[in-house]
Amino acid sequence: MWIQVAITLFSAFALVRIYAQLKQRRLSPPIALIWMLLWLSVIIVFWLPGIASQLALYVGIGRGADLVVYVAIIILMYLQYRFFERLERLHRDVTTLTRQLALRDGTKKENSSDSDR
Amino acid sequence: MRTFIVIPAFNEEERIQATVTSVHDAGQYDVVVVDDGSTDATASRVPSYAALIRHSVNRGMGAALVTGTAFALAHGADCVVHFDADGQHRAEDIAGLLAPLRAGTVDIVLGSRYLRPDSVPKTKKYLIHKPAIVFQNLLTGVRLTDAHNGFRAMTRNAAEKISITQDRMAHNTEIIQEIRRNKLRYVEVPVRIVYREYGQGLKAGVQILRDLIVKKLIR
Repeated sequence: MWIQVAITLFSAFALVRIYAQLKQRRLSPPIALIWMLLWLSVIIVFWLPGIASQLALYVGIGRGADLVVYVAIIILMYLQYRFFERLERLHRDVTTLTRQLALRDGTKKENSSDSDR
Repeated sequence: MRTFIVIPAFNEEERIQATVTSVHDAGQYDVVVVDDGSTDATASRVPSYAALIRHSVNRGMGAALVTGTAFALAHGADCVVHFDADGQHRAEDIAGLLAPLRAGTVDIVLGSRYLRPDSVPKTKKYLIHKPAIVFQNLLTGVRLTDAHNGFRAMTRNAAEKISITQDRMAHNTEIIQEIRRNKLRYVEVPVRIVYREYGQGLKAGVQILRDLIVKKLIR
């Protein structure tokens, strides 16, 4: 019982945060919706584990808990990939920026370059 | 023919002056040093006759070469030579690299350690270089006798066509891929590499593989 309450509280906290970010326009509505559905489904699955079991049977997986773990792993892997991709892009952007600054500033001889530091 | 020697340098305060001087003494070349965010005195050790441009943060050798090459092209380079700052490359080999370009027979000239007998330590040759060369030839479809020594010369046209997106060391392989993609005419000429104690080991090889795989996965 207490684990369900704890998970619910945490999910509610996550939902509030998502809502706040949506209001501040830091999240786009579709992305916010996906996250909200995800956290809502966490609450539902923890209070009504039967739903997960039924779904698991429907897709041919033995137990509801297994289904939840599989789905969670897939989502985490996808998110990991997205972060990775974004990080690589960020690296490239930093390089482009660094290059543009270097070329814009042109050649600097030692005195001026030292005073820049 | 105006030739720019591009020297990327990261924390090379010990050697950069000698390297730039040797290049300057070797011929009528424009020298551009790209200080790749060094935290030591590299920038202040660059002789005043060389152009110095600076990455404010370290971005890797591939990134620095792209910046230096862009600088050279913007300043009217007809040929661009990539040259290491750490003294591995010998300035007297530059003329040999430029000769086929001057003759107009090729677009890019790559230095090869293996066209000279006994110029590479055996452990390095068989444990690191040979597997890397086989991998590179398989990946790029360009048959070469060497990989990753980084000593190369190219025409303006080739420099404009070659697109390097790899910031770190995988740019060496990427350049070979670009040779094929752009159907550039290439030739290898013998060069001697002066081995330092550090240089690239197995760890660097793994990093290069990682970078190449990531490039395949993303985009």
